Amino acid sequence: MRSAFAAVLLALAPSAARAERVLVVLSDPLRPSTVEALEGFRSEWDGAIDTASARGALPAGPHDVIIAFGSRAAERARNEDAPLVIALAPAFRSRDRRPRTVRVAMTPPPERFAEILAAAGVRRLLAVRAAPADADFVKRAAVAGVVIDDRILPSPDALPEVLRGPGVEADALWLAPDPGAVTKETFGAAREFARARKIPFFAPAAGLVSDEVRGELTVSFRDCGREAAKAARELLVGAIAVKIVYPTAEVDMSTRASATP
Amino acid sequence: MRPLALAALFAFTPAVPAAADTSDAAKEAFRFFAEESRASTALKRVSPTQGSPVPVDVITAEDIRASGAVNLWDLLRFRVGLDVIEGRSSVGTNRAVVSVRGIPRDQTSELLVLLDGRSVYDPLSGVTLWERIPVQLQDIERIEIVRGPNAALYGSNAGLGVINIITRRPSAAFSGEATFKGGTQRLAEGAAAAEAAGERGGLRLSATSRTQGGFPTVADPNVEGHDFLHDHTGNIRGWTRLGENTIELLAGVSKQDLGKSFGNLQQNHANSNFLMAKLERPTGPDSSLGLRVSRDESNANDSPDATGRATSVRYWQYDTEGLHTVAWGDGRLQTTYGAAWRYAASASSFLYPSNPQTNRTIRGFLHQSIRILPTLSLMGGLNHETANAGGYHKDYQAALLWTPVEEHAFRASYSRANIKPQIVHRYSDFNANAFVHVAGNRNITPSPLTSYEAGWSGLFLGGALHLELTRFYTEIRDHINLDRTSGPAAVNFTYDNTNTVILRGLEASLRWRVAPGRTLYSNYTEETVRDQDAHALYLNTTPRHKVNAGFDWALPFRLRASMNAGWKDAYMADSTSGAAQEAVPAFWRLDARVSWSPASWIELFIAGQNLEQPYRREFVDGLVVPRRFQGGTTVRF
Repeated sequence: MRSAFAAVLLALAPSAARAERVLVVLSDPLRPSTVEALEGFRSEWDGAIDTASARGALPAGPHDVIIAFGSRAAERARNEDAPLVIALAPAFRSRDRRPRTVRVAMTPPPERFAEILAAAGVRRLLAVRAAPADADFVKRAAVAGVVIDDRILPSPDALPEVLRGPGVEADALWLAPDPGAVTKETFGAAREFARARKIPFFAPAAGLVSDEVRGELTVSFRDCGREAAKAARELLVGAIAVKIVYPTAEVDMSTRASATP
Repeated sequence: MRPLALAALFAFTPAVPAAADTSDAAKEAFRFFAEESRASTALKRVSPTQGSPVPVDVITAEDIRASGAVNLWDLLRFRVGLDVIEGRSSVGTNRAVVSVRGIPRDQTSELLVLLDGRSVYDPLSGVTLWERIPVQLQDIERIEIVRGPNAALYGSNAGLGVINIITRRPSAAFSGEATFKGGTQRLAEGAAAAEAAGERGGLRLSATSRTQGGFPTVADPNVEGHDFLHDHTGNIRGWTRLGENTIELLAGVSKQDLGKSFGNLQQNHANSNFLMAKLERPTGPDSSLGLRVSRDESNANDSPDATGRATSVRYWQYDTEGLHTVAWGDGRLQTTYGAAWRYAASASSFLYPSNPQTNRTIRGFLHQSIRILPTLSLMGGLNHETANAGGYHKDYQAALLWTPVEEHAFRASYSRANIKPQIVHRYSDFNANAFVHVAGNRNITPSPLTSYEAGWSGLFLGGALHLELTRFYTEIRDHINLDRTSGPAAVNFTYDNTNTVILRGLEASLRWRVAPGRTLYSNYTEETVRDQDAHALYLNTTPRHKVNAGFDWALPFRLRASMNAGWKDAYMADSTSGAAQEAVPAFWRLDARVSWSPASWIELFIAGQNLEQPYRREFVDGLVVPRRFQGGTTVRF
């Protein structure tokens, strides 16, 4: 028994000596959305982590992996020399080609995305956002059977003009989770537009699913946290090869939608 | 449901979310997006929207489209702190006078106007020739109006404000539009633009041709004057990405034929062109480098004047600037520094005893912001500048920003700027007509301007309602004037800078974006002027109170309406180029526009300016501003 215990200790010793130093950087001020994502992260990550605010100084490195929740945290963490996971930062656009960086999208994988839409009878989705979509996402969704017609909003005020633009013929409308496009006013106007056209409207966040909204086509903050944990683990073992990962969470669908096709 | 009924439903239904959206989850979702929006890296750093040391007003492309503006200055008329006087003869300079924070006159050199970051003022006298700016309304992405001194970053002449006209960078895969309009005062305009862009580059071409008749005369308001304007402008803008570098090339040409109001003289001609290259390069995770090189040229050839003398003026300038921006110290410190060099030259058939006259300017600047506490930031800037015609001067800025609660910012600032003399102030020596002689002054020095101001900016209703208040006190010492002296002619003027002008004011503005396509605004400006030498030009030309209000509103049946109403206090119309004065009583001005888009690719519109009265005098050149109507169509693909 003693020798068995010693063998276990011996087996554990190297990993204990090389315990990963994981740093989670949180945007400041700390929002409920960030707290929810952190809870999701902890539910998937069973090791120890250090946390730091994006506003203060980060703990001295080296770190084996850094997870940034929010754009401010991503801005702060990208200077560090460590593999980086960025979540809850749909507007974050890094100018430098940083190696070993994974972004957690706020949408499900394009195939799952297309599957949800296909189940609702949608073949052509009108997506409204402030910046062009990831080309790979659009391509994979098209292969899966749903054409995404992207419309770019120069400013939230331009929504009526964009919705009246040429060739706006779609089976459904989606206000994408893009900070430059989502305001109370654009959300309300887009929903009314969908209602008037009798097409389903999909929201940019899980919290915005209501009686009038068919579904959210996005994932919750908690799911983003979970996916960040998975990405961090894969970065640690060097297994991850893609730059954008999509949470595989379930997506809410409203049973009393504003319209059904 | 039929399309019209659909549109009606869309227009009438409230754009604010229903009560179901006020749940905590919905509130947090909207808050999340609002927070992220402010943290955008588009500004090259994480930066709050209310982080400016001076008040900034923005005119968007959407505002321009809904405005019914014909000329560039039409966009500025109803803005807080700005004053536009129309009905001016185009002899010499402008058909309109644009000023910020008071003392409007036809040679306003305290306002710096930039086109995509480069100065477009006339290096002869430091004024902006609005007609000659080679830009088209359809190309403008936004206009940023900075009120108050910003010389620590922009250098001399950014004393009372900076207007930066930013044009559209091509980004659409393939798009275009064409507008045709016509109206009273012999208005006829055709404009077209097309652009194509991809991931590695883009190109935009645009052209506008416009003709406008002259202003009626005071003597007979039913007879149109001769100061017509025929304006033709063409622009090209292209960009490409090479590795991490973004390189841009902008070029433009403009040609104006201008009639003269006096004596039915023959027309004048002006030709302008520019070429600019820009480079943007990230130099680290939180730093970037920008370089800009440009060349501008403008030629004005006047037909012989009343004395039979032919007059021509040409100026050309080379302008270059390098800028490095870096955030450090855990993001608490942000530094911007750079250097600029400009060579300006002018030749004239009558202004100077010898040609050409030149002005070489070199400056270096440093601007630093420090976040002392999470709610408190300190900003400071310093500009050193020297020019052979303008002399040497230093400009400073110090500002304190306090954000006690989210979306509410208080600011207090002290600024020191300089208005430097230009070529004409130093080297001119000419007869304005048979009786008047104007002489430059080689001893003239920059006019130091000191400004103190305090303000508050607040956002309400989730950012949809923006309120702003600013109080300022500005003192301009050694102000450059054209003073009566002895000399070779019957009446002689010489430039000097012995005067002191004091400006005080209050600016209040409200803008409420009720819903997409639905905006209300109102603003109030109070300005008073004190002048050491008691020049009527400064004391009485600034209207004490100005109030503006208006809306832009999406209506049923794909209709859209906008209206701007402005009330201006009484003032004395005056001019540095003439002795005449005219008391202008307080008046209202009303502009309106209605458009209809029967299909998504077409818009039909009618608009009117000065709708409240048939004509009104605003300036001293013997002209009046008539009531005007216009109509037209825009097609897009």
